[in-house]
Amino acid sequence: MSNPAEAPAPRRLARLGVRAVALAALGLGIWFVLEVRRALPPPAPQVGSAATLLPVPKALPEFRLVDDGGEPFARERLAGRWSFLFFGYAHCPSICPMTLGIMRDMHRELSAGDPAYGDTQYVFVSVDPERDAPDALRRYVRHFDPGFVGATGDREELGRLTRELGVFHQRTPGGSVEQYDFDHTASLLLIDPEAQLRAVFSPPIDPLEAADAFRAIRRLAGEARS
Amino acid sequence: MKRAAALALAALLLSACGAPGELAVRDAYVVPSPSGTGPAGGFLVIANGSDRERSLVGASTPACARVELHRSWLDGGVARMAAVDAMALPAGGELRLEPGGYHLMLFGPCTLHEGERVTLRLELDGGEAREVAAEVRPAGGEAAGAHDPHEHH
Repeated sequence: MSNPAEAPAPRRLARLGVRAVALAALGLGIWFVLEVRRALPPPAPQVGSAATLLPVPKALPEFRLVDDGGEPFARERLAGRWSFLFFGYAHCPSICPMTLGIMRDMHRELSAGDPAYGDTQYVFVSVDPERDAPDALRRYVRHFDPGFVGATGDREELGRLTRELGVFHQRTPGGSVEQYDFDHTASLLLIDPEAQLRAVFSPPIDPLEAADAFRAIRRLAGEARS
Repeated sequence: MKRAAALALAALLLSACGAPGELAVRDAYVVPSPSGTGPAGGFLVIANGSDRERSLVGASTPACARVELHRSWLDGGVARMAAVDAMALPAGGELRLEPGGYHLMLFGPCTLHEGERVTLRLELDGGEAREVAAEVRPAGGEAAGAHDPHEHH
C-alpha cells in the first residue's frame, strides 16, 4: 500500500468520496434504528438481568388452597405484603430443594439489610396434593426457614391459579402409583401487596442478584404510588 | 521364562490401564428429602483421567432401598426430570452430578443422618464398581455455600 501523502489527487478524491458515502450510510443506519425502536412496543422492563417485570401487573384470580397447617390459603393471604411463589412438589430431589435454598438465601440477604424487606412472604405451592399432605409440606418448607409457608389444593383450584400465572405443571408419564414426577415451571413469581403478579425471576437465579432486583422493583413501585 | 515375564508385564500394564486410579471420585454427598417423604438426592464428581470414554451405569447404597440415575434439566423455564440408563464419563473429562443436572435418586426406606457418611457403590461399564463415602448434608445447603459471600462466621 502506498503512503496516502504520495497518492495522486484523483485517488485522494475517490477516497474522500468513499468516506462521505460511508458516513452518510452510518447516519442513515442510526436514524433507521432509532425510528424502528420508536415504532416498536417497549420491551418488558428488566430489573438487572435477574427479573422480568410485567409491563402491566396481573391481578390474581380467586383461589382456595390449604396451607401447611390445614388452614385455608386464599388470595387474601397474598394481600398487604410482597410474596414470592414457587410451584413444585416435595418428592422433587433436585430443582425444588435448590430453589428453596435460593429463596432462603434471598430471605437472609433481604432481612439482613433494611427491615422493610423482612416481611416478605415465601410460599411453596405443591402441585402434588395427593402426596403432599399439610404436615409433609410443613416439614419441607420449615427445613429451609421457619417462616416459609407451604400450600396446596385440589387440581381445580391449583389449575385456576397456575393458568392465570402462566405456571406449567404436568405429571410425567410412567412411574408407579407412589413414585412419579412432575414437570413444572422453575421460576419464582413475585406477587405485590395488591395480590398482582408483578415480576418473574427465571432460573438460573442468583440469590444476591435476585434480592437486588426485588429492592429495585419495590423502589419502582414506591415511586409510582407517590 | 522370558515369555512368562513378558506376559506378566503385559498383564501388569493392562491392569494399570483399567486401574481404578484412572477414575477419581470426589465431592460425594447425599441430601435427604426435607419432608422425609420423598427420595434423597445423591451428588458427586467423577474425573476420568483415561483416554477412553467410560460410563456410570448404576449405583446402590446400604442406606437406601434403591438408587436410580436421573437427570434434571430446564426446558424453556420448565424443570423436567427423567431416569437415564447411563451417564457418560468423557475421556480426559469429568461427569458432574449436581443439583439441577445429573443426580442419583435414592429411594426409601432410607437411613440417613445429617453429618454422617454413607457408602455409595458406583457401577461402571465393564462390570467395574467403586465405593465412595458420601456425606449426608441438609437440603439447600449447596446453594448457601455457593452463593453466600455475605455470611461471615
